[in-house]
Amino acid sequence: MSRAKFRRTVSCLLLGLATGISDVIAGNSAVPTWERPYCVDTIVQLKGVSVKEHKWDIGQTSASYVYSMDSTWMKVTQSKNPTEALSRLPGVTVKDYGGVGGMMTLNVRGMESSHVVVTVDGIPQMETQVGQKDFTKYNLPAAEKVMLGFSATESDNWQARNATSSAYVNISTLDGLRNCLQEQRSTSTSFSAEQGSYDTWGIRVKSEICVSPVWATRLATRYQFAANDYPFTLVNGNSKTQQYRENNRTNLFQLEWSHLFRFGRNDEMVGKVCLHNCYRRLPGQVVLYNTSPNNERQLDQEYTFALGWRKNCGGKWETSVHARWGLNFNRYKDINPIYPQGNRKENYRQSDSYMSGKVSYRPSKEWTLSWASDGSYNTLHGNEYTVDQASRITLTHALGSSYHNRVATISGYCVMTSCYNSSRNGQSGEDFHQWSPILMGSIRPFTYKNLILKMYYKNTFRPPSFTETYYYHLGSTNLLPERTFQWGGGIVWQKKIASWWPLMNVICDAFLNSVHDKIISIPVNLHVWKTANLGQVHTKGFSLSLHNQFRFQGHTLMMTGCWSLLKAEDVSQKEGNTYGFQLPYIPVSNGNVTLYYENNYFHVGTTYKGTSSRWGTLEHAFSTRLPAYSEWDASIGCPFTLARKTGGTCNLHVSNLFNTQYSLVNGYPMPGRTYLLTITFKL
Amino acid sequence: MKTFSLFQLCICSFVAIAVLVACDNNNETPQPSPVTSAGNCPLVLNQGNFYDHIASSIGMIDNSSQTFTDSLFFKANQILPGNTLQDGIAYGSNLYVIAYESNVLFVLDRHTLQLKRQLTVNAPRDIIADNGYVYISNYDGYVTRMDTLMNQSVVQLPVGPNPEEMTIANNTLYVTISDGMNYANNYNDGKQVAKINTTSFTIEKFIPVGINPTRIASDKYGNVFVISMGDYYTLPPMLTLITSDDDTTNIAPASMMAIKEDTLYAIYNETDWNTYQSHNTIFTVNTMTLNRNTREDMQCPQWPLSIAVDPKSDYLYITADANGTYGASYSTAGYVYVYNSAGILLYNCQAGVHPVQLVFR
Repeated sequence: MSRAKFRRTVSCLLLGLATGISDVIAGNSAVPTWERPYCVDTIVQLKGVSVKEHKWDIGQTSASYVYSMDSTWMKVTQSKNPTEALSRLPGVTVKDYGGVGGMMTLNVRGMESSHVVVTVDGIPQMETQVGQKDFTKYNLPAAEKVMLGFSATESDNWQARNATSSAYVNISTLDGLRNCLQEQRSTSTSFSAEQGSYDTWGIRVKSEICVSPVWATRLATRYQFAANDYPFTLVNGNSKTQQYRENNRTNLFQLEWSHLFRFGRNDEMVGKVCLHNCYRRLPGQVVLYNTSPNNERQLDQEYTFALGWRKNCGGKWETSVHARWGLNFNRYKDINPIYPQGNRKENYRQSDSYMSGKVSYRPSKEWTLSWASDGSYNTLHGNEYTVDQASRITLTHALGSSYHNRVATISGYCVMTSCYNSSRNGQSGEDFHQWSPILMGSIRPFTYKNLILKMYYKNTFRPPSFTETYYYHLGSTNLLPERTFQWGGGIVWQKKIASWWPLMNVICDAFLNSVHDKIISIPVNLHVWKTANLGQVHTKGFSLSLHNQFRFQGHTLMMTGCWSLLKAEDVSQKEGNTYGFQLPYIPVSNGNVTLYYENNYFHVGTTYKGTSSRWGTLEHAFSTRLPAYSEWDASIGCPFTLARKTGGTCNLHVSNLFNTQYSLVNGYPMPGRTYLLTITFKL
Repeated sequence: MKTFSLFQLCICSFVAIAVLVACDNNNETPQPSPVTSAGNCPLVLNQGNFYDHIASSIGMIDNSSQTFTDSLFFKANQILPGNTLQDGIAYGSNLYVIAYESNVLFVLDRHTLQLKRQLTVNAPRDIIADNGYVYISNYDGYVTRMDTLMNQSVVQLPVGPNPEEMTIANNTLYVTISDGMNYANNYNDGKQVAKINTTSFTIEKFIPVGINPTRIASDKYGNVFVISMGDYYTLPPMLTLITSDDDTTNIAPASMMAIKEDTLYAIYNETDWNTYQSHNTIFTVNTMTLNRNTREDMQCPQWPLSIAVDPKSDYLYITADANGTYGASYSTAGYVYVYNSAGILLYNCQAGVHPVQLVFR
C-alpha cells in the first residue's frame, strides 16, 4: 500500500470512527456507524482514539427523534442550565414561577410534563406523587448533555419504562468519566463561582480521578443561594406601582458521587450516589393590597443510589442491568393563623425501587432484536390520611425489532405494562394493563446526500398519580391511565456548503397528538371537586429548526433558530363551552433565534426569544389573557490561562436585556434585567 | 453564486423566524365603558377566581331595565376591588366591603362607590353593622369591631377558630365558629356559635350546633337560624334553629338561606355520592311555626351560590355560577336570577365571575 493511500484510508476511518463515537455518546445509535456514507478501503486496528475536535451535535442528524444538546450547545444558546436549554427547543413551553431556582415545569408539544419521562443516564426518575415534574431538580452539577426525544427506544441505553412515555428527557453525566478512563487522566478538577442579580450566589466543584486503568470516579457538588427579591410592576386597573417579590428565597445543594468501571472494551459498570436538597420560600401569586408576605415554604430532599452494568458480548449480544433506589422527602409548610396550631403542614415520603434488564441480539448487521423488562415499587407516605401508605407495583416488558440498511430504517416495538395499586387506608386505585405499540421508520432517498425523511406512530399512556387517586376529597380511586396517540413525520437535511460554511442543518417536523381519558378535576357540588377521566385533547403542530455554522481563519459564527406552531385544543365535549379552545398557558407560536461568535480569545452571543399570547384558563376568561412577549439575552466570555496548564473561563450572562415585564404564569411576574457572572477554574 | 443565494435564504429565514416569534394579533386590553352613577340598585359582589388570578368586581342589577352593569368599583375609582370579595353592607352613608385574600376593608360612598378609606384587616370573612359599629369576622379567630364614625378598628375579640358569618338579634351578636381549616380532625374545635354581648363586647356563651357551621341569619322576632355545612361529603348540611333559651332544633337539610319577615328561604344542594350528580331543592320555612314548604314551582339554577331577599322590595335573588363543560364554571361570568314574592322567575341576567353576595342599599 502506498503512503498516500494509507493516509487516505486512516483519515476516512478516523472520520467515520469519530462520527460513530460521537453518535454513540449522543445516543443517536439508530443508524449503525458502519452505515455512514464514508469511504472505507482498508481496516486498520487502532489501540484507541481520542476525539479532540468538537462535533456540533445540534439536533437531529439521523433517523432518530432526538434533540441532543451538550455543554457547547448550551453555551451557544446562552442557556445557564439543562432546563433552559430544553426551553430553546421547538415545541417546548416553559411554566416558570419566577426567580433563580424557582419551580419550573415544561410542556412538550402540548403535553404536560407528567407525560414526559425524565431519565438520568437512561434510568427513569420517578415522580408518582404529583406527576408534574419540577425540572429545576434536574439541573445536575455533573450534567454534560441533555436530550429530548419522542421515542425512547433509540437511545442505546433505553429502558422498557421509557418506551411508554410520550416524550423523554435524558440527562447524561457519564461521558466525562468515560473520557477520563479513555485518556487515563490522573485528576481533572474544575471549580466555578457565580454571582448574579438579587443576591444570587453559587459554587460548583467537580473532580474526576482516574484511580486505575479500569476505574474512574467523580465527585460533583453544587450550592446555590438566591434571594430573588426582584422588582416588578404591579398593574391595578389604571394604576401601576413598583413592588418587590418577597418570600422568594432558594437554597439549593446537590451532590453526586459516581464510579465507572470498565473491564475490557465492552464491559462497563456504573455506581452512583446522589443527594438533592432544595429549600424554597414560596412567594405565592401577587395579591392586590395585601402587604403581608406569603409565608409558605417547601423542603425537597432526595437520596438516590443507582447501579448499572452493561456488556457487549462479541458484537452480536448486548446485555444491561440497572437498579435504582430513591427516597424523597417533601415537606410543605404554610404559617398562617387561620390554620390549627397556626400552620399547615403537608409532609410526604416517597420511595422508589427500580430494576431493569435488557438483552439485544444482532443476528446480522441489518437486524436487531431486543427484549427489555423492568419493575418498580413506589410507595407514598404522608400526614394527609388519605394518601398515607399508598403503593404501586409497575411491571413493563418491551419486545422490539429494527432493520437498518443504507436506505431505510424500520423499527417496531410492543410494550406491555401492568400496574397494581394498593392502599392501606380505604380503597385502592384501579389496577390496569396497557399495550403500547411503537412504529418508526426513516428513509434516506439519496444515499449520497444527507437527507432523511422519517415518520412514527406511538400509543402511550400516563398512569394516574397518587395525588389524583387518593388526595382528600379530590382523588378518585377508579381513575384509568390517560392514553396518548402520536403521529409524526419530518425531514432532516444537513450539508457542508463551503469550507467557510461547514454546516447547514434544517429540521422540519409535523406532529399530531391525541390525549384520551385525560384526568381533570370537575366540581361535584359547591364545595367538592373530583378527578375523572373526562378530558380529551387534540394537538397538531409544526416546527422548524435552522442551524448554520460559519468558520474562517479561527473565527466561528453560529446562527441558529427554531420556531413552532402549536394548536392544542380541548375536544372533550362538542357541545361544551370550551370545545376547540387552546389549552391554558400553551402559546400558538413561539421560537427563538441565536447569534453566536467565538474566536481563540473570547465569545459573544445573543438570543432573541418570543412567545405569542396565551390564556390562563381553559374558558379564555378575558382577564386571564397573558400578552405576547419577547426577550433578549446576551453573553460574553473569554478563556484565560494561569500557570502550568491551569486556566478557565469567565462568562457574563445578561437575561432580559431590555427589562421586559412579563409573566409566564398569571400572578407570578418574571424578573426584569438580571446578570450572572461565572468564573470557572480548571486544574 | 449559488452559495451566496443560499446564504441570503438563510438570513431571510432567520429574520422570518424572529418576525414570527414577535408577532401577535392584539395585545391591547379593552377598558370598560364608563357609567354615571350606581344609584340605589342592589349590588352584586363578584368574587372572581383567586387561583386563576381573576380579580373581583362589583356590579349592579337594575330591575327596571332588567340589566346588569359590572365593574362599578373600577369605574368609580380606576382601581380593582382586590382579590376574593367576600361580603358587604350598606350602613349610614357608607358601603363597607371586605376582600378576603387582599386583607382589606373598603369604605365607599353608598351611592357612587367612590373610595373614602381603605383599611387593612386580617382575613375578613363576614361583615355586619349595628348601633354605630361595624363588625368583621376574621378567619384567624377574631371578631373586629370598628367605630363607623371614627372609621377605626376599636377592638378585637378572640372567638375561636375560623369564624364565618354573623347576625345580630336581641342586641346580641351571634358568630358561627366553624374550625373549617381543621377538616382532618373533623372540625373538632368548631361546632358552635359564639354569643357576644354587643354592649360589653364580650362572649356570653358558646352554643353547640352541628359540624362546621358557616351560615347564620335571624328574623325580626329574634329567632336565629344556623346552617352547619357538615363535612361537604357524606354528612349533609343542616338548618338549625337557636331558640331564645339557646336550645337548638334541627329543621331540615339546607345549604344556604335568606330571611325576610317570618319567611326563611333556603336551597338544599344534595349530592348523590354514587353517581356524583347534584340536585337543588328550594323550600321555605315559617320562622314561627317552623312549617316547611318545598317550592317545586320555583326554577333553581344548577350551581347556586347565594340566596337573598331585598328588605325594601319583594324581589328574591339567587346568584349562580355558569354551566361549564363539566359542571360549574369558576372562570366565566355567573348569573343572577330574579324572582317576585310569589317565587315566579322574572328574569335572569349575566353577572360577574362567581357572584357570591348581594348588598342592598
